[in-house]
Amino acid sequence: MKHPRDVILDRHRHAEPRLNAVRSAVLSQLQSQHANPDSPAEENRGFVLAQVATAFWRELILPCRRTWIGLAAIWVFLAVVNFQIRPPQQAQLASVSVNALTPEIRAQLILQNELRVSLLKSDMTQPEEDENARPSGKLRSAIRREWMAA
Amino acid sequence: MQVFVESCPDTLPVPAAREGQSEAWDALFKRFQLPLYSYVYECLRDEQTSLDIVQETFINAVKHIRQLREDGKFGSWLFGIAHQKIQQHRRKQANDAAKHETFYEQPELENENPLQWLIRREDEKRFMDCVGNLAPPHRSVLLLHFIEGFKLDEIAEITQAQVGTVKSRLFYAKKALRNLLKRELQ
Repeated sequence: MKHPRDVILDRHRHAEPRLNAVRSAVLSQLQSQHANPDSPAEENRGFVLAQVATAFWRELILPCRRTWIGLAAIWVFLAVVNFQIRPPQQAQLASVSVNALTPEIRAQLILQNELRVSLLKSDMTQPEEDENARPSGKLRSAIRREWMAA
Repeated sequence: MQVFVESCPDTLPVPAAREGQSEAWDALFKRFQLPLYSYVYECLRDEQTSLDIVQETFINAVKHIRQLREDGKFGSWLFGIAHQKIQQHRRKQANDAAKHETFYEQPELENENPLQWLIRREDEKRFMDCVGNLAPPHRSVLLLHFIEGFKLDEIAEITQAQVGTVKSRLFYAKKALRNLLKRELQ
């Protein structure tokens, strides 16, 4: 009685000529590769990169692809809304370059800048005025306590 | 009687193949081409696809021989590549009906008369039909066990399954095959 292995292999022996053809085709390909060898390091690096990319795609993107698609859709929607809502003047101002300013506008800007500086200075002197407003130098809480007691 | 043909790791010229010697690859391919084709064919039942997968397996083996850690496991590694190709093909052709081409062979009548030959062929055909009727995971495990006599851990590596799963699949595959053969004989 034949072993199953022999039964299975005998059943496919007729395919041996074709398999021989396949084998010689692969070997000729191998020999041609040897004739024009690629850099093994480069080939290896490419393979590793491909593996990493595949693993990244398979492990991170594919399992929660609906979430990724949802996030991407939200981002696209937000970008569209942002462009729609943006005021046109602001957009125009943003597009004006510094070199394109006329002398009048430049003078206006300088004036505004000086005004801002003076306002900042007045802000910095404000606490001194507050201190003067409480000549006793007492804390507000202490004054309030005295007032309540009275 | 069970005769397992070992892959004979000592005689396989894997180190020479690693160095790219085409004679070594020729010897390796010659050793595995028929078992590999038989396995792929019995899994897919399509001659052209099986030949394509054998070719792709050989090409991949040449490309990725550096990934083979133990030379002694060349056989199971090669079958592993073929198994992955089979799975890819199955995924692509999930709904494709299995085709079974019929080959007409010349009877080998050297040692037996035509009637004996016909009976033997009929028995073998019945056996293979029963194997073909098994569920794909069971069939894969049984074929790997029959064709190359792979151990459980090697089959587990090839099919990317747990050893326990392979053990159970092999047990149930043998049981199912026995039942199918009994039913055929009745």
